[in-house]
Amino acid sequence: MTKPATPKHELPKAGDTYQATPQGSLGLLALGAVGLRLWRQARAEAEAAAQEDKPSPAPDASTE
Amino acid sequence: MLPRSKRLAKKVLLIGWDAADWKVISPMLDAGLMPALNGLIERGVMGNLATLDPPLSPMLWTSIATGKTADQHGILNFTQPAPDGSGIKPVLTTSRKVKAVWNMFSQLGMHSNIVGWWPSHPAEPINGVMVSNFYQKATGKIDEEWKMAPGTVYPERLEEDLAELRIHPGELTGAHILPFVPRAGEVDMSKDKRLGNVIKEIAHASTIQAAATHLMETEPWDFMAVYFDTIDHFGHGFMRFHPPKMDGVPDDLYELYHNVVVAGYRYHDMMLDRMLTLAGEDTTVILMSDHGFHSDHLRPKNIPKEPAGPAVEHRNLGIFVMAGPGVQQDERIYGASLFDIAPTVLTLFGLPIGRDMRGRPLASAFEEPLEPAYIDSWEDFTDGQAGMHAEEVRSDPWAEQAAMDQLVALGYVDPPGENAEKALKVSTNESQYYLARVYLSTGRPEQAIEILAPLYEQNPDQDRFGQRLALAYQKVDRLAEARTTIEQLIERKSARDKGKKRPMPWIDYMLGSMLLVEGETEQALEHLEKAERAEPRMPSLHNQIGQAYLKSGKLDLAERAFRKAITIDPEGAAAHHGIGRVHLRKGEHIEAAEALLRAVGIAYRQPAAHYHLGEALAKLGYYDRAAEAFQVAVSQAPGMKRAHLYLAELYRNYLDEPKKAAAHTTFAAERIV
Repeated sequence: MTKPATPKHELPKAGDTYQATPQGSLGLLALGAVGLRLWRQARAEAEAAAQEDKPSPAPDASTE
Repeated sequence: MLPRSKRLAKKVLLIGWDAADWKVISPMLDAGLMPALNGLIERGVMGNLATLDPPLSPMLWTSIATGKTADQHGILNFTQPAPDGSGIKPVLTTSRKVKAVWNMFSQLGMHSNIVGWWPSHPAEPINGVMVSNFYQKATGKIDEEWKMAPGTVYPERLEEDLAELRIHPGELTGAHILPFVPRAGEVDMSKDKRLGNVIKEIAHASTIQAAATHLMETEPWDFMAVYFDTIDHFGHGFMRFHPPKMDGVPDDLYELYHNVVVAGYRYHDMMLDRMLTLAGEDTTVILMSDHGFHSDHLRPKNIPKEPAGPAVEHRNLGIFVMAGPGVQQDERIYGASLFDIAPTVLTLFGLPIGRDMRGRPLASAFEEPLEPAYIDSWEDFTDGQAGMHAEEVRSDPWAEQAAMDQLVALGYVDPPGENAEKALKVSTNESQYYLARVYLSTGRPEQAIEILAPLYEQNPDQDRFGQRLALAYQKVDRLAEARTTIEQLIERKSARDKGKKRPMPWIDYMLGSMLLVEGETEQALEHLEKAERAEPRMPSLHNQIGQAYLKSGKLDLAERAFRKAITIDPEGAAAHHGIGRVHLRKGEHIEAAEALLRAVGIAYRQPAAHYHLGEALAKLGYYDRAAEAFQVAVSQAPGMKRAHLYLAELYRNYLDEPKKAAAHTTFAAERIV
């Protein structure tokens, strides 16, 4: 078995750093509990932000 | 008082990768695709790990955890009868009859965290944490409630935290899936279930990883064992799409799924990196698989249509890596078997090995010589709380159904359907058949016959029962009964084929093998070569032909046959053994020793190969090393008279140890018939 050559691949690898995005990543999942929580938090924050950005519903005529 | 040896490890982390195989891993290491594993290997030892027969995972992982054979530990199958006789259920931890290492540790107040072990449901009340093998299996759609089945987690205080760490397959995004299947967007998931299985497996592995890392960070532990089944499941689902492309695999499916196996290993490497970081360098780490998985030209083209048929894809050698304080660095070890894991783990903690365990501690992995302690049996040690279930514990039929569904999806069991009685009968028969195979593979053919004879009589359509019965008769020299059984097999097969003359290579193989035992070498060769014409890619057949030529003194033809077997499977221990014997007979002792060392390096438990190695070394004048080889032979086969006699001669005439010589002479004369 030879020493590994410089890796050429698209998958993240052990030792990489990962950014928690709403989409998540395999790297975060591989970190286990801490990565999973970070991903879910990023996802929840993105969902909350999307809710806030939504335009308010048009006023209901019956309440006017 | 429990005898102790020197404690070698502060903590032990045991990671199981079901079906991991060096044949896939080695080129990935060379390409730098598994850096975490590479680092572990560089600071430790690596080697093959011989599996057991039958190579069925619940049975194997229980032998790993207990150090015992399946007839001792009681886990014989993927399924077991429901206690009320209503049908079958997935095999449960309540069927295990003996202690696993974590039960022994519990008795001594040591903390163990066990995650996902197969089987480990319902979780045992050990000193530590157990997360059962039902934990990761989602039971409904993502918007439905995913209840945690009772018995999934012990202690209950951790249920809520661990339930939150489960990942539903529906939660995953393209960021998780595309590294495995880059063109996933092209798959119509209503027609092609494969992508759904990939997603499910990523979720399962990630859930186990989340639970394991959480426990490593938050709970105390001396021993941690974590089991991942995803590499095995990717193998069964996607190894046929792994490069090089197999004949008959459609181009479009190959293009979609050829990356799944490699991506699976890479993902496991990433998870390994995290666990190694959490464990720290002062923890002794063992990474292992229960068997390998054919990934090359030995991939079977067809899966037998029988329960556990997919096990035909399993290879007989798994992986073993160990690193930690006191462990040699960047070295290979040879001859490890699944039975050796429990004795090695016990020795790491300075605890005694049960004499009723079948394995031995892997002494060659350590920098210092080992002096393990022994007790007769851990089953007799009653101090403390072992944390085993005292009686049948009811588990949740709903969660059991999810586990059953997965076994059906993998092809390990047939769908139980409406006919629970039939499913129960099939499960019971299979368990008996597997038990008979355990007896056969551990040198107890008489006990195998006791099971197989009635089993084949009651199930005359099951050729495999008859084949093993004939083999068992042959092993105990009941050749007339072996012949009768083979004749029954031929008759029944012909009746099923309605008189059509179809080649029956396994019948010719068996007849040839039997004639060889009877000394009818020429007739044996006729049958064996007929079988070879019908089935030219079976290494064991070429080995048998080699044996026949060896018997008849046709050494060049014997060598040619063994070399054919090696061409098909370069890691076939029997073929290297055969080559060694050919060289021995030709007086080429250096070449003989080289081939025989290779044979025992691949599979250590071969007393005859150790004997022949001893013979070659003695001829070369290496008397002390020859004596070592003969000693191994008699340790594996105490009744091998010729090895005792050779040892007596070496000790008397060459090594100046008359007492040892006398002991072997006496043993051979008085104890061996």
